[in-house]
This record gives sequence, C-alpha cells and structure tokens, in this order.
Amino acid sequence: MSETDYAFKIAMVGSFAVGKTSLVRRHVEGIFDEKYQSTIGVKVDRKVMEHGERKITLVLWDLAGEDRFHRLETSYLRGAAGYLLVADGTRPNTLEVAEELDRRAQEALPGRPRRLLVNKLDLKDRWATPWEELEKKASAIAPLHVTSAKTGEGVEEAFGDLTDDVLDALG
Amino acid sequence: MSESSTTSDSRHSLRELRRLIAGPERVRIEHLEERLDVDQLLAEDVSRCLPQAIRLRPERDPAMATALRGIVEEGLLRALRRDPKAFVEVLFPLLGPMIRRSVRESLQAMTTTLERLLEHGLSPAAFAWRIEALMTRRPFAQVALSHLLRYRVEHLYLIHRETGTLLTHLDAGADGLANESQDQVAGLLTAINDFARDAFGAEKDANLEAFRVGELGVRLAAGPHAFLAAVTRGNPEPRLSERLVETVETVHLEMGEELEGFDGRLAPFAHADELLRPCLITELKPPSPLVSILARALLFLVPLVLLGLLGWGIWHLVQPNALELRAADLAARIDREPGYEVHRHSIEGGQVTLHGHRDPLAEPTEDVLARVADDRLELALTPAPSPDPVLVTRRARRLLDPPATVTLGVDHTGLLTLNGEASHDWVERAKVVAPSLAGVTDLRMTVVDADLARFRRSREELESIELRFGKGSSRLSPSSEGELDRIAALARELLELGNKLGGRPSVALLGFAPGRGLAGQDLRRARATRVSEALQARGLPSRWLELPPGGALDPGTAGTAAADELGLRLELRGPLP
Repeated sequence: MSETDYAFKIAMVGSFAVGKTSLVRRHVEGIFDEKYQSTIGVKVDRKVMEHGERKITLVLWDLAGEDRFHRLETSYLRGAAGYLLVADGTRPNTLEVAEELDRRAQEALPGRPRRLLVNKLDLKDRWATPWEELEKKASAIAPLHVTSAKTGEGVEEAFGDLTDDVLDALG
Repeated sequence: MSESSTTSDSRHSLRELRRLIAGPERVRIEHLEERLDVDQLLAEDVSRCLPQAIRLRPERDPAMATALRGIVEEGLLRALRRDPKAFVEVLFPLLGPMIRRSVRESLQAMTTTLERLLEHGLSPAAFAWRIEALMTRRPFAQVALSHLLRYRVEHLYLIHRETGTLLTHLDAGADGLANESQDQVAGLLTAINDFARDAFGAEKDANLEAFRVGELGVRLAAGPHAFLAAVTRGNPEPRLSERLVETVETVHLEMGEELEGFDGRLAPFAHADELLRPCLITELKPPSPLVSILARALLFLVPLVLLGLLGWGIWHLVQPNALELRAADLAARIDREPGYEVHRHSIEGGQVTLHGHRDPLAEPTEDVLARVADDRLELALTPAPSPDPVLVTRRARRLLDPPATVTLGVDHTGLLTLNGEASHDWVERAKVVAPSLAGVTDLRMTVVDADLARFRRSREELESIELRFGKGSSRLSPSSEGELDRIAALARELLELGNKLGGRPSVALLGFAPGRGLAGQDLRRARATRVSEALQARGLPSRWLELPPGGALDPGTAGTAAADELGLRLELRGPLP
C-alpha cells in the first residue's frame, strides 16, 4: 500500500449500455467479472494515475446501469470522492437519465466533483441530436467530455481532469 | 435621627457600595481560590490511586497502554537523541541474549513445523496428501500444511468503511491475488457488506460478520469508520472474532481522527500494519502424543538413516572405482617385473586377479607378491618365455652354461653376444643352441676355441722338435733320448685333440740321413723305426704313427754333416681340424 499516496473511490453511473464498462475496460486493471454488476449491482476496478510525483489509485465503482429493471443503488455512492456520469451520444434519453442520476448523486454526495462523459464519439455520424444542442444540454449538467470507449479518445483526459478536481477539492 | 443611627447607615451604605463595585471580582477570586484548592486536592487524590489505576487498567483493556504509548515513545525518542550513549550501554548486555533467543525461537518454530510434517510423513494420510498435491499441482508442503492447520489467517484488510478504500493489507505469504488487486477486493467486500445490509433490510449499523467459501472464510469486525476483514483457511476459533474487534478498536483509538477525516491520503495509516500483525495467526492442530513421540524419534532417525544411505551410496559409488584403480596399479607394478607380462585384470568379490604370462626363469611369484604386499591380489599367469633382455640373458646362461672365460650379454633388440674362450665342444654347442634361444634375434659370437688353439700350439711344438742321432747311427743322442717322453705326451695330446676337433691326424716320423742311396734310406728307416718303437713303448698306438717309406731327404741339408746329425723330425699329417 505504501507505493500509493492517495486512494480515491470514484463512482461511474449512467444508463444501461452507455458504455461505462467499455470505457474502463481498456484503461484499468479489473479482476472481477461483469456478472457482479447484475448480481450485486457493482463491479470494482482499479486505475493508477501518476499526478506529478504523487501516485494515485482510483478505485472505480462501476455501478449497474439504470433502467426500468434496475435502479441505481445509491448506497454504493457513499464515500465516493467524485463520480463520472456516462451518456450515449446516439441515445439522447441517456443524457436525461444522466441528469437525473446526477441529481440523486448530488443528494448523496453534495458538492463532489463530477464529469459527464458523452460516449460513442466513434459513432458521431449516428448521433441523433445536433452537436451544438447536445453540448449545450450536456454542459448544463456537468463539465463535459466527449469520449470513445472504442478508440480511447478522451477517456484518459476525463479521468485526469476528475482526479485534478478531487485533489483540488482536498485543498 | 440620632447621630449613631446616622453612622450605622453610612457604614451599611459603604458596604453596599463596595459590594456593588468589587462584588463580581471577589466572587471570581473566591471561585479561583476554590478551584486551586480543588485541583490541588484532586491531584493529591489522584496521586494516591494513580499507581493502582495504572496496574488495574491494563487488565480491562489495552487503552492505557495505547494512550501512554505516544507519550512514552516521544519521551524515549527525546532521551535517545539527547544521550544515545546511555542507551547503547543499557542495550549492549541485552543484545547477545536477544539475538540468541531470536535464533532459538526461529529454530524451534521450524523444528515444530518439521515435526508435524514428519508425524504424518509416512502415514496413509500423507500418501493421500501426495496424491492431492499431484492432482491439484500444489507443493506437497502446502497441501500437508493445509491439513495440519487448525486455521490460518491468510489475509487481513483494513478498509475505510464509508469509501471502501483499502487502508492497509497484510498477508501470510499465502497464494492468492496480486497485491495490486487487493484494492478491488476491499471495494467489493464493502459493496457486499452494503448489499447484504440493504438487501435484507438490516439496521443501518448492522454489518456482515462472517461468510465461508469452501475451506476459506471471511471474518469481519467493524468499527465506526473502518472495518477489518480477515480471510481465513480452516476453522478459526471464536476468539479470533474477539481479537479482530479488539484490533479495530485499537485502530480507532490510535487513528480515530485520521479515519474520521479520511480524504484519500494513505500515509497516516502506514503504522496500522503493526497493529494488525498480531492477527496473522497460524494455529496447528494438536498432535497426538504417541504420534508426537514417533515423530521426534523420526526427526533424529531420518537424518541418521539418510546419512547412512548417503555414505553407503558414496561407498558403493567410489569403491568399484577405487578397486579398479588399485587393480590397474597392481597390473602396472607386476607388469614392470622382469619376466611378468600382465594382459588383463578381473575383480570379483573385492579380489583382484591378474591374467597374463610369466617366464619360468622370472623371480618366484611368492617373492613378487611379498613385495607388493596386497592380500587382495591373485596371479593367474601361464608360463611363457619372456623377451625381456634380463630373462633372455638368464635363459641363455642357463641353457648355454658358459664357462667363466666366456662373457654373455643380450641387448634390448635380442642380440646375444658371446665373448671369450671356451672348449671346442662348448663352442660347437653354443653355435647350435644360441640362435634358437627364445628371445634371441641375432648372435654375435667371438669365442676362441681353446682346444683348437691348444692343438695348434702343440702341433707347432711337436713339429719344432729335432731328434739327433749318432753319426750314421740309429741311436738317439742322449739329449734327444730325453725328448721322447715330451714327444709322446705331445703326440698323444695332438692325436686326441685332433680326433676331438674332427680330424684324424697321425704323426709322421721323418727320419733324415744323408745320401740318396740305400744306406741312407735304411738309416732313415732305422732311425724312424727306432723312434716309433720308443713312442709305442710310451703307450702311443702304432696306428697313430706313420713311417713314410724312404724317410725324408732334406734337399737343403742332404749330404752335409748337419743333416747327418739332425736325424729325425716329426710332422703331423692326415685330415687335420
């Protein structure tokens, strides 16, 4: 444990099939199967970040996607140092779900840093909402990142910026 | 109003005024005085019971020790910085015993584990474990230990309760996840705890306390801000849970503030390892006394047997080689002996037998064996002539039997050299025998035939004798008469030697007398006859004597007085050697 200076719990929330798991698959160390999400509603992964001379471990709680069968287990949000909201650019309603989840997360974690990731940048030509409109809508929820889990574009930046936010919040 | 009543009123007013002006301060002063008295009293009271309290408190819980630890540590560190030498002097006599004790206890722990393994080392159970180890591809020691264990705490996780963050992790060196994966285990343990509580509608403060998976189990002990999870193998005793709770309490006591205000920084929890370490418990099943005695016996016997086997193995490994080397050495030594020729050796039952040839004229076997002095040696040698020059010389000397006047030598090529002088018989035999001697490749013979030499000398002597007669007479002169014995001896010798040397000589008596006429002839015959008779009278057979008809007329001296006096000469004739 001594090699890590900080360990932060980061929650990842979003509608089902927005690509949360895919986002982290290429960028983190995971030992648990995705079936954990469907059983107890969460899968825990790990990502190590270098921040200057500090080594930071992000313990990523990948929460099961919100849908009509699954409700977000807000108890899993407890103690998170920050969270990532994930939406799918090809499905506009996922942005609305993200907004609702943010509202509930802010109730559980008032004032905690968060970032909104609009995913599936690689399928941008299929996005239903014009970019300007989407950007306007998304930016109103949380600081926005456009990402592609498939190509990895924007993912590292999103994690990096959220880590900065968390460290800033520590003061 | 009277004067006295006026004075009394003024005093009362003054008191009232004083009370109004200085009253609050006075009350405060009195309160402070009272506090001083109380603290003093309290300190005195506490000082009376403090030693007993210090003695009693640790019996209840470790809070006193925990509370004092920081103060004591700080005090010690300050004293150490101020005067390290004093500590060195205090610790110096303790260091030796400390080190010895540490080594002793380590050895004892190792011996205990070894004893326990040995207890079962040869049992049917151990056989089953070996099969299990093969099937599961785990080391035998690990399988055996898992069966011998009552329980073992393999992992300890101290987890921040709210965030699920792993604060520290200890393991007992067991197989399992890599260290970097323990963060995720901690997170999911927290999630499972939350899940269990939420799923079954338990109270907010309720916590999962234990669960089992096969031979592994997890025990959890929760505090207000952190919980301790112990992953166990085997069947832990109930006391383990109490111990975990006590440890979590101690962690909260020491790091309560850090836990409460946890913001992701892990450095404040570096010290927590030491608090957790006593919970890494390994407890073995109690051994049965009989098996224990057997194990102890085995503990000593097994090394002895192993040592014996090792020695036996080495002896068997080295012994044949040693005997082989010895045999080769003996073969070389015997082969160097003149007349001994070793072709091979054989080893049977520790006995070395050398096979080959031995010259019958070589040194006796007993003498050679006595010199080698090795009772493991036997010789199986067949007789055969050796080409060794020493033996060829010995053989030549034995078969030729040379006289002292002959020197004999054989060089390394087999050349036999014979020098000196020997009898005619010996020379003749040597000429035949020497070239056929085993080991002789060539012959160089410069041996003088002594008989032939003597024959020649005697012949010369005989033929130089001149017998004289009276003038015109067949009567020998007195001096010549005296020569007859010598002539007879020489003639006998020459005739005998001549025969021996292969000739058939005879002595011709050549009478001399002047005149070619009958008279001269008669005189020469008469003189020869006279000498012949004289020699026969001395034992010479007549067949050896030859009387040439007419004698000899020396043309050089014929008709002279000298010839007349000369009378007779002797000449050796016939086939001469």
